[in-house]
Amino acid sequence: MLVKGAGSSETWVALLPDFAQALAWAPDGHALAVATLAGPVFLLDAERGERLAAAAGHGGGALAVAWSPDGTQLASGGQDGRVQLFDRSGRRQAELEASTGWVTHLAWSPTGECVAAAAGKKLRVWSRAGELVTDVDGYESTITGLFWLPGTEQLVTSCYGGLQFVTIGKPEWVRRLDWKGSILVAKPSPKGRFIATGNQDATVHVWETSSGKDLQMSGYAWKVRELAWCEAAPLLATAGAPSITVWDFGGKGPAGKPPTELSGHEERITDLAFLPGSERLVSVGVDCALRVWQRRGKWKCIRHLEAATPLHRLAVSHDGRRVAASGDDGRLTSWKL
Amino acid sequence: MERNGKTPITVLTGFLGSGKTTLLNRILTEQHGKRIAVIENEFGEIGIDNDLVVNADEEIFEMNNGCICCTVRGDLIRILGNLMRRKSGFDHILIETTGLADPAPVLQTFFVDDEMGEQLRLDALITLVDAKHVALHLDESTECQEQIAFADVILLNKIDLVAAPDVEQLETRIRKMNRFATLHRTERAEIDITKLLDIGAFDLDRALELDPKFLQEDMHEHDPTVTSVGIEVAGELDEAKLHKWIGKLLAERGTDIFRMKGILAVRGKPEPVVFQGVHMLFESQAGKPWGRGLRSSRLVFIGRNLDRAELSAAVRSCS
Repeated sequence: MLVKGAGSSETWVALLPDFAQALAWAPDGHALAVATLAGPVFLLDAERGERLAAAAGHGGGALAVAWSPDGTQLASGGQDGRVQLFDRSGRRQAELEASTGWVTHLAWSPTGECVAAAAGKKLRVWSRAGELVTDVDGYESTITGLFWLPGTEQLVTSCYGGLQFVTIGKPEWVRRLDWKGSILVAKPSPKGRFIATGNQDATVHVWETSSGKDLQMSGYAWKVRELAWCEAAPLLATAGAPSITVWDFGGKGPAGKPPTELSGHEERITDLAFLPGSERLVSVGVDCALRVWQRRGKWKCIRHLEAATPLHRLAVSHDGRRVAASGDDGRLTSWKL
Repeated sequence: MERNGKTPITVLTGFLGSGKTTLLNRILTEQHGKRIAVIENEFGEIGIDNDLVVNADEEIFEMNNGCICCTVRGDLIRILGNLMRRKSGFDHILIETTGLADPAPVLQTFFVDDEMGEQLRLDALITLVDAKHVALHLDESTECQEQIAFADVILLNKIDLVAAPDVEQLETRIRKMNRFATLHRTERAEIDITKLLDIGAFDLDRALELDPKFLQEDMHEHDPTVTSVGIEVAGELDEAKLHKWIGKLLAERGTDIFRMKGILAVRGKPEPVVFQGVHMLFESQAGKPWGRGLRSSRLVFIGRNLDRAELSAAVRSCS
């Protein structure tokens, strides 16, 4: 792997064997974990992008990476239907068989005691030692979203047809929120009060978790796969268009309140993330641009950075000081903000 | 081979035993120098000799609004999304459907999903027909009828297992359902692959090549089975009237109309409007400017419950 400076000492570009499908910054900020479609999983030095460790990864392609909350373990998943566990420095500890489906999503429990994997139509949860603790097979369609509901010990999955709630040790869903439509992505608000989904039919759906009451936002240009909740304010940023739409969930919620449109990208936006604890939003798009937006009274674009290729996936470090974005041809760019 | 930098997609349908796997292996082993990715259906029982085979488990996504034209294949969107990101790229992608698949959601995926349309283009839908056994299914199986009706290319395969007069009869029957597809008779799916790949059947420019001889026919009125109807109307048509009629037709009859394409002579326009549609999904663009000859509109429909007289009168009323 070549590492080149790209104009600024605070920026690096890593050339990987293939597209970086998933990115995850280590909680302590020392490294970026990368899942590549070529199969290997890499640990790259956060400062310079140099390769700290490389694992053979997953036959057919690696699709997911996730760090345990304490940063001592890394999990990866891929098209081989397997999950691998590594220590902080990238040494492999275990290989677990999830299913014959692709492992597309991984989520560590808030306590770090177990890691959940969505593999096609199956959900598997293992202890950090690699012992299978939960196994849910009732899915009729591929799982498209996976997270632990903040403040609870429940897992939530999404697929075509709605949301499913899972408790550790139970092989069946403990609750469902049905919705006839194809959910592409699902994310909880920071305290879990709301769950938002982006959908194939160019809508965003939001449930109030406790009551199950829902509302729907439409008018998007395309399918919506880009969602980001803000920690510092009750805001939900969505794309599904060349502009970003920010919904305000404060007060009585977004119904009847016009959302804010953030225009600047020239083509499809591919990923969004708020910087931790701030009202600053990062977006990347097919127009090769990375933009940072800030709300101070009004929204404003405060940074506009260009990469050499269209950008598709984005990861923000836990301290909010670094971002990494994956582009075409295995090109991965990191900026210090 | 790319047009507009987009990777072509060929969809391969046909009942179990019609020879899909044989044809796939033939395409893949031939020395064509193309890098081909294959998306094989979940029941693909025989190993395919290619590194780039992805197994797809058919997942039909209906949208919340209940519109059938928005029904797409979620599994294909995921798999193709993954393939398109890859550094190596592909010259061609083959999608094999299950024997009982309705081809519409596969085709609609490329019309409805913008991301798919950005980087991929539908090249053609090829249907393999088992000459020996298809007669059993032609009357009863909706899927069998649909696979023939949606096809751009039909391979009447295994003709070596059937007597010549029967092949003749079968071909006539298939022609009545879909007179616009190119039909090849094959044994063991043997065919020159240039007749199958990169033929541009979904290119709007190709609508200009509609053969007028297919438009003259002797079909009786209103046929509940799957048929094809071709209409030619001399002179120019009124744009506003056309717009209104096509909108109404697709809203009311979109379920019955499997495919339509054509070329329209619109009053006041220096070039024809070329169009095509799958069920209710419709796309059009300006064609190459008219020459000096007489202008006429040519439309073809393949579907169920088509009434030639009614369709023809409706087009004429737009003049």
